[in-house]
Amino acid sequence: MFTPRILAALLSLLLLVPACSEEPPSTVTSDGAMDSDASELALLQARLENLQERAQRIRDTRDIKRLQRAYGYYLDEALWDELADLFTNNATVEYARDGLYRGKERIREYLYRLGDNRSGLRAGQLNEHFQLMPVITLSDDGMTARGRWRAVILAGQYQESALWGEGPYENEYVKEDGVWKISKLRWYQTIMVPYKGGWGLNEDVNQGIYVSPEFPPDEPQTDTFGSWPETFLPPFHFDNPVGRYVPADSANAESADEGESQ
Amino acid sequence: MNYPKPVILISLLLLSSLGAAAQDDAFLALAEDIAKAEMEIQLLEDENEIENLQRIFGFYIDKHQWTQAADLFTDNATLEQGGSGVYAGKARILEYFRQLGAEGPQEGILNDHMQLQPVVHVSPDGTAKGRWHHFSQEAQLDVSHFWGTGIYENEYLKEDGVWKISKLHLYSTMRTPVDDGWQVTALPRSRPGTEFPPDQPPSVDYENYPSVYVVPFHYDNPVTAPYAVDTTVEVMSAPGAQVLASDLDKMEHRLSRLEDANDIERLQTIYGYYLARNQWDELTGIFAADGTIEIAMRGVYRGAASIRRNLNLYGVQDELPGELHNHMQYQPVIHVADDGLTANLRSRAFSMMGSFGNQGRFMGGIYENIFVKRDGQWMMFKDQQINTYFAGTDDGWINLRRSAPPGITESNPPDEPPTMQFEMYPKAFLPPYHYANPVTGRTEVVQ
Repeated sequence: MFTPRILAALLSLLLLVPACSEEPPSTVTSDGAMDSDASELALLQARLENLQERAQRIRDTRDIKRLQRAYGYYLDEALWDELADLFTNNATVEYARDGLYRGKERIREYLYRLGDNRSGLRAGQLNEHFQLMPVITLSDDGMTARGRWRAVILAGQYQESALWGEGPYENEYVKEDGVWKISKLRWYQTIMVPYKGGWGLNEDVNQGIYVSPEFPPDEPQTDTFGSWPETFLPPFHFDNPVGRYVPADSANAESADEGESQ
Repeated sequence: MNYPKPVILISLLLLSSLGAAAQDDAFLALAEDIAKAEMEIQLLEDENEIENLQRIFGFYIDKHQWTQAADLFTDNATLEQGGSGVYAGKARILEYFRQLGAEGPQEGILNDHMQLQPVVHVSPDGTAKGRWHHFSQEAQLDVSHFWGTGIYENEYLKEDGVWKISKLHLYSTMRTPVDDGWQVTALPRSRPGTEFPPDQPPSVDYENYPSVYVVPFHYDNPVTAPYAVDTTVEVMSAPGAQVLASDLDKMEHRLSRLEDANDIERLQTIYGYYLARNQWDELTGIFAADGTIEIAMRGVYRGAASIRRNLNLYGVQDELPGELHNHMQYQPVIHVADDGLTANLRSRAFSMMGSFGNQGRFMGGIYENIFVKRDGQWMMFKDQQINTYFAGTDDGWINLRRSAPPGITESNPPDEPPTMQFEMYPKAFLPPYHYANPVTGRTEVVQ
């Protein structure tokens, strides 16, 4: 419950006991007062520690948001090495229906293959991946976390293609040596459709398959989701924070008119 | 950090058996730890204020509120957008905005400039930097309509306790007419004007897509070179226990408001996820029992049963075969009341909707919501959404003339009539703000 600094201050005083004990107490008039000061100190220390832990949880949540957003900015520019460095050594990634790839180096190779084995965008390539709508849930010990996000994508190749894309992430994060990293990335592709006609008139352009035919995954797709116009609801890592609505016994319409009229 | 109890007891015994000097040292060390923790809380508040500031800026730009927007800058700030060059000083920045169009929301003009994906880093010296994604929907009725993307790398300065923008630099990435899209047409970045030339030429030489340009990052890789600040505060003499206890009281109050803002942003976001898949019982559950929902001028539905009934207007619960109903929640500006029991949120709605087989639609809009905390739990108390447009993915905004929002459904009527009358683009409408300008305190609309 004491921070290292305070403990060190207290313990280091052991060495000074003779000197200290010879000094007359200047502000403390009795042993009783000193005891009460000591318990007061312990109380303040405990309160401080509680605030530090709470502030740390907010900082952790913010660090994780910055991490995922940094991921997005690197993805925009096809900066694969910067991206791969955001993962833990034994992290997994699973994009759309490409299957699961395990370990930082496999992830790096997967990412490079997404980008034609080159770092940086091709001339004429657009790869905007906005990282939006974070719902971050920290574990009780503050060492792991989960996050749901949504990507909105404007992608394509000048004079060849233009695509609208969208899909949610359900990711996991781990704090290693005080630094948050991505330990699991799962992106679900809701749509990836041509700009012309959008999602109303086009099916998904690749059925969620990117590089897996030439670069097989370590494990097959871990779920059964299909591709647009098939729809699905990726599971949530969090429960309803307030609680699901349970209708009263009577029909909804019966209780609908309780509101005061203006 | 946890120490075994005996160690603590021995420490306490030592403390009480040592002289006053030892106690002074222990109190001084505690005071320094408290001061450091307070600085860390301050930095978290700073981040929130800076994110609010940039998002407030975006909402002003949407509606051509040039005076309000320019007032968010420091006197010596610079502004540089696209390739138009650098405008220096608050007065010039206002002039720059004014040559973009008349002050205030204009009929026939859509100017939505989303402020997304903040990566903000604050320094204890009262400066900060932020990277943001820019995503714009711009139109002039019967004339033109565009999609645009870009990156902001901005700087902020705290003056007399108030955060302001000291440098705004929007690098344009891509701009295309809606009719063509970015496969067909890629517009070049803007050039310095001759009628209203900049004070300095463009600071960076680059071209828009289809060229490739990586906008420099103000931060290093967050994993291999994490951002770190020194929050150590030197304390010269230890205040008494009472002063320290009072410091902790104030810190706890401030920290609670930070936790509240975090919880509210999370709740509003979850609202968007439930709405996206017609999860009506889940969605109704996040409202207070006496809450209200008022969407698209459909009127006020009050209380859980009515809110649940209202949601039937948008489809059958949990059933969405071949339908996209993606209702996204962006750009939250959150203000928590000092007592931590109520809070206001303005945010942006952006939706991708439609059934397979028909042209899909985009919807843009504004939320002005109220949250309440009951028994320690934040809930949605008032959900009000004011639409800006519904536009076909291929039609865009150029010929969009339907300005009436959906309105009341007679077969499933509201409990109360709409609290606000509005029309969508191409009409001009300014959804009222729950907040004043964070720099000037101005609330009135400048025309």
